[in-house]
Amino acid sequence: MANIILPGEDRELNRRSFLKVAGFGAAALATMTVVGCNDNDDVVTPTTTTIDLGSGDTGVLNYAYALEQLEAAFYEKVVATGTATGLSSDELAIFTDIKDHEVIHREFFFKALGTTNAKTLLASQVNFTAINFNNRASILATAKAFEDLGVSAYNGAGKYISNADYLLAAGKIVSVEARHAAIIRDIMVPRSNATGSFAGDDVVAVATGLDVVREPKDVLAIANQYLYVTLTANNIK
Amino acid sequence: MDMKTPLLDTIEPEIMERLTSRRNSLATMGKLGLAVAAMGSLPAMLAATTTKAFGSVKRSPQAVIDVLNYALTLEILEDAFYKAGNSASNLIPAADQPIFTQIGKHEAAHVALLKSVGATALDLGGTVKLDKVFTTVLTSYDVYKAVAQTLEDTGVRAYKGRAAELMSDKNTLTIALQIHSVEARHAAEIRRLRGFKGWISGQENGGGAPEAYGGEEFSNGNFSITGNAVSEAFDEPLTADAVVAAVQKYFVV
Repeated sequence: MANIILPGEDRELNRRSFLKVAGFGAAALATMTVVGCNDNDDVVTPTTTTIDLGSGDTGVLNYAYALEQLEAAFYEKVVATGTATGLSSDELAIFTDIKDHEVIHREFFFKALGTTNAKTLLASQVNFTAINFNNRASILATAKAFEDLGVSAYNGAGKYISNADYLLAAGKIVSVEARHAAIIRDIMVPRSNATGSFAGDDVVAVATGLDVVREPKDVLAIANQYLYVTLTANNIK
Repeated sequence: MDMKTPLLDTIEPEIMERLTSRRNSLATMGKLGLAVAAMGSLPAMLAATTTKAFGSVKRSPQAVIDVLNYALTLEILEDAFYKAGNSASNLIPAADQPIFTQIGKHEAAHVALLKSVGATALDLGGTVKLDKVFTTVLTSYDVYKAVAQTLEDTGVRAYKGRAAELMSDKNTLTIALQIHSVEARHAAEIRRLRGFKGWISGQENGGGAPEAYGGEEFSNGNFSITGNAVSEAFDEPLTADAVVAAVQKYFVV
């Protein structure tokens, strides 16, 4: 790799090779700085720079893309950890399904955005230090948080979409996220509990029967806890 | 939108106005009962008042009202289905009752919510006796669960299929999305209860109405992962006609 890569340089080739290693697919628009590289030891220092997801439908798609990347990275790590997670084989099968779905969602949004517009996160920008991947309860709690968060994010972002095709695509995905949330919750909580269950009173309002909804800034405030960079959606409106 | 915002405050004034006038016009159609009977089944009427396909998406206040009325009608069917099941003796085992109580609670809330904004069920004018149409599905718990799964999976597809018609009214769109994801939670739970995955592989209906699953296998592209996961990762929309075809067998007198 090049010794020093500066923002604004044509760094496509280097970036591709890095990302391939990092397991994050193709290009990233997120600003990154590579320092102190030599032939044997590339040290990547993620910037603390805020990354704004953009405006219009591209912004909304990047917002969804960011969340799907986060989810996919989480489930990939769970599946890679395997039985050391403490999950049963049945549960691991469910997590493998969900991992597959989230990877597909990630790739779907990358394709929809295209290389030029897609804001791809680097593996090094993901911060899962709060998650104990060798602890079943930690994994389940995180999965539940991500899935409920995803549902609330899509529910809140629909109104910002201008293109009906994108709205439909988001609709196709959000209900699968809701299915994930329900199944994870069903694993965690006895069905006799009105709160915490598949469609518990903690997420579905009793009076209206409406699921959770969050604005992008509120979603990102949570999602950013799992990142070393700060995502903003100040221009999605 | 804050979940606790009174819904009435969030509906566009123009929509409210039209809903009100629509309600009045329906009230004057009190003799509709006869017309309903003459026209035949409930689903036929449902279909008559809904757009046929996604290709010609209407975007107008009237379109929004049409969707709300369509939604209310489906919710009334679901509500009636769970009320009947939850009150039937020897149908739902005690261990599973909390699931259906929870789902029934939501469907009743959806009905109340949609009614509160003035939505009008399309044709439940007393000629369709909801409490009498379920005899065939209330005799067996296995059948009841299969129908519940069909209704929930279809509900997901129904809302998805008409979301674009709500784009002119962002608040109503958001509410519809919030109902949509709840139906998906229900669907997943019932599928799991039945021993299936919470997500739909291909057209897997598990004995539910096959009409409800046509097109569910649709592929949204080529991905690094292949196999069932590709169809599972996306739920597909369903036209109003197909929704009607899927649910009518459980409700027509």
